[in-house]
Amino acid sequence: MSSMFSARAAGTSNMPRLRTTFLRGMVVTLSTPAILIGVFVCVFLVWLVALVVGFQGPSLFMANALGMPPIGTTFDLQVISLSLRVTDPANSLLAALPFMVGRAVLVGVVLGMSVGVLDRGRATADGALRGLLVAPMVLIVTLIELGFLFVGNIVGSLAGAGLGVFVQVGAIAAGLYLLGYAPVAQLREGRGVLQSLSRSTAAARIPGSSSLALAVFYAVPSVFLQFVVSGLGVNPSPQLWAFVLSANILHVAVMATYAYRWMCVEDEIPEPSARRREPRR
Amino acid sequence: MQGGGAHTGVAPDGPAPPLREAWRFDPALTGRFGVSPPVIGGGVAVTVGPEAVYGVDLATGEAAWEIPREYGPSVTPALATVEIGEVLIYTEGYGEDPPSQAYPSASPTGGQSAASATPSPPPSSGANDGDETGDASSPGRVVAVDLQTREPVWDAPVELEAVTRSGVTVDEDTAYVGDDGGTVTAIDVASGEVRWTFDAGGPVETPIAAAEDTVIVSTQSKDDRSGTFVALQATDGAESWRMEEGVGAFYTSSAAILDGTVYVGVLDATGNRLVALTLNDGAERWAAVSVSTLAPFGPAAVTSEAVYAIDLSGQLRIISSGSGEDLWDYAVNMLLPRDGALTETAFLVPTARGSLLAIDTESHDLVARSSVAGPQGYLRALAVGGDMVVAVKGGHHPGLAAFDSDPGAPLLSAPSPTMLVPGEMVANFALVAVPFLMVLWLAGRWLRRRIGPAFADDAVIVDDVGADE
Repeated sequence: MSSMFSARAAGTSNMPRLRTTFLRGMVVTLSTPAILIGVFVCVFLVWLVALVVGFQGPSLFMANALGMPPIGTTFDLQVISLSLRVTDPANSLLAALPFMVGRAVLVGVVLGMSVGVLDRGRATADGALRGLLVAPMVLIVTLIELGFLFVGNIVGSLAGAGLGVFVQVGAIAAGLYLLGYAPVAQLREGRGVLQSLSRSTAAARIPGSSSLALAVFYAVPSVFLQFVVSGLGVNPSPQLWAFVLSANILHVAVMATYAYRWMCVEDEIPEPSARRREPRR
Repeated sequence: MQGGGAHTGVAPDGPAPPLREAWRFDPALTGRFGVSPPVIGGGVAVTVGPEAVYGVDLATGEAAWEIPREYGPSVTPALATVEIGEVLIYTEGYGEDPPSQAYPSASPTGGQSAASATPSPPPSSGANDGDETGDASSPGRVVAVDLQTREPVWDAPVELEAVTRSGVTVDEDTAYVGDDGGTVTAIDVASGEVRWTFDAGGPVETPIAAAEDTVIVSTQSKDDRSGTFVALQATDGAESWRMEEGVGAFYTSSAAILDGTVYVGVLDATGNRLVALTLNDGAERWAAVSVSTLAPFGPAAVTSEAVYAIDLSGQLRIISSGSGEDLWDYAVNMLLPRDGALTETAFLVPTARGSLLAIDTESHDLVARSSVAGPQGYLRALAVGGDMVVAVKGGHHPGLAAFDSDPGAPLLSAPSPTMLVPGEMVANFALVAVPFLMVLWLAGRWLRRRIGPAFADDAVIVDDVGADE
C-alpha cells in the first residue's frame, strides 16, 4: 500500500509543473467556445434537473455540479439525499445512478473535446464522440471512487467528527490521485479497463509530477463546499450564480488539465509488463 | 406549554400580524440560566427563573409578584383550575450537586462574583419555607400555589426521586412530571396526592404530553439504553405501548396528541424524522424524513389538517396530518428553536436572532417580522393569551418579550426562498452568464495567444521539465 502512494524511482519526466498544466487547462476551457458555452448550459441544465427532482438548496452546492468524480459524485448524492429525503446509502446510490451516468457522459465529452483542442487546436464533433465512448470508463472510475468514499466514511466515523473531515478529504484525493488519468488514458490509447486503470496509477506516480498535490488542491475546497448546511432557496442571486459558474469553469479546467498532463507523459509511462520485469534485471 | 397538555401549539385567539413589541420583562438574571417558557392565566404571564417564579402583568409587562424558589432548572410551570380557583404548579430543586449559575468562562475576578461561581444551593424561602418545604436535600419537588394569593394549595410539596427538567403538564385534574431518574409522577391537582408513579426506563427531560386519557412520555438515551416513547393510561399509569423495537433513538422530542394520533420527532441510526403514531397501539401511520442531522424536527403545532414541523437548520415544513406528505414549506434560513404557535391566520416562529416571524397560512408568505429592542438574544417558547404572544428572550438580560398586533404597520409579502420564481431565476442567471461568457472567452483567447499551442512548440514543455523535482 505504501508503494502505491509513493513516487517511483527518480528520473526525468516531460510533465510540466503543476501551475503550467493548470494554466493550459484553463486556456483550453476559456478559449474553446463549445466548452465554455457548454459549461454555462450544463450548469443551468443541472440546476433545472435538480429543481425537477425537488432540490431546494442550498444553491451553493451547485458549485460542484460539474466536478470530476468523486467530487461531482458527492454532489449527485447530496442532491438526491436533500431532494428525495433519502437517507440510507443503498437507496441514495440507486437514485443517484442516472446522475452518475450523466456525469460520466459529461466528463467523457469534455475530455474528448479537450484532447482535440490540445492535439489539433480545435474542438470537433469527432473529439466529443470519441469522448462519449469513454463514458463507461468514467462510470467505472466513479464506482471505484465511491468505494474510496465508503471506506473513508467508515474510517472517518471511527476517527470522530473533526478528523473525519480530513479522512473524507483524503479518500477523495486518493481516488483522484490514483484514477484521475484513467478515462483520458483509455481515450488516448483505447485499452481495456484494467490496463487503463493501471496506466493511470503509473502516470500519477511519475516522479515530480505533482499529481498528489493536484488531487489535494482540487479536493480540499470542493469538499468544504459540501458542509454548507443552510441557505435554502431556488432563485440564486447574481452573485451566487457568478460564484457557481466560476467554480464550475474551474472544475472543467481541471478535467482539461488532467487531459493535458496525460498527453505530456503518455509516451514515458512504462508498460505494466515492462515494469514487472524491471526487478529481475 | 404549546396550548395545554396535548401540546398542539394552536392558539386561534392569538394576535394577528403585523406584530410589535409590547413590553419586555427583565428579571435581572446575571447567571447562565434564563427563564422558562411562560404560561398565561389570570392576567399574568408566569415564568420560572433559577431562583424565583415571576408573575408578569400581561398588560404592562411589569412584575406583578415574585415567589422565591429553591434553585432548580428553569422549566415550564402549569396552570390548572380547581375549586378554589387557578392553581400554579411548578418544580424546583437541583439536589445535592447543583450546577454553577456562573458562565463557565467566568473567573472569580470577572463579571461573575466568586460566590456565584461556587456551586451551592440557595436557601429555600417564601412559599417553601417551614415544614412545607420538605426535605432540603430532596433532588426535586413539585409545588402548587394559588395564583391569586400565592399561598400553598397542597399540604406539602410532592417530593421527587431525582431532579426534574420536564416541566409540568396538566390534563384535566392531574399534573404530570418526569425526572432524570425516569420516574413519571401523576399528581392530583387539587390535593397534591400522588396518584401513581411509573418507571419509564430513561431520563424524562422533555414535556410530557397528556390528552385523550393517555400520557405520552419521551425518554432520552442513557448508558446502553436508547430513548423511546412510552404511552401510559392516564387513570392508573399502566403502560399501553412502547415504541422501542428498531428505534434506538439518540434523541426524542416531546409529543403532540390530536384526534387519536401522536406526533413525535425522533433522531436515530436510521435518520431524522417526524412520526405519526396511532394513540391506541403505537402503530406507525407515517413518517416524514428530514435530512438535517442536527436534531429531530419535532411537531411545533398540530391541527386536523397539518403538522407544522420545524427543522433546526431553518426550514418550516407543513405536513399533511393524514398522509405525512409535504403540503408547503417556508425556508427561514436561520437557526430556529423548535417552537412556534399557530394563530387563526399565521404561524408564529421565534428565531435564534431574536426576531418573531409571522408566516401566513393562506398565502404561505412571510407577512411580519418583529424584533425586540435592546440587548440581543434568541427568542423561543411562545405562549399566547389575551391578544398577546409572549416569548422567552435569551442572551444578555434574559427574560420575556411580548408582542401584540400593530394594525397601523404594513404587512410584508415575502415568499419562501424555496418558491421558484422562474423569471427572477432566469434573469439572475442571464445577468451573470452573458457578460461573464464574453469576458472569459476574450480572456481565454488572449491567454491562448500568449502561451501558444500546447504541443506545437516543444519549448513550452521542455522549459518546465523537472521544475517540480
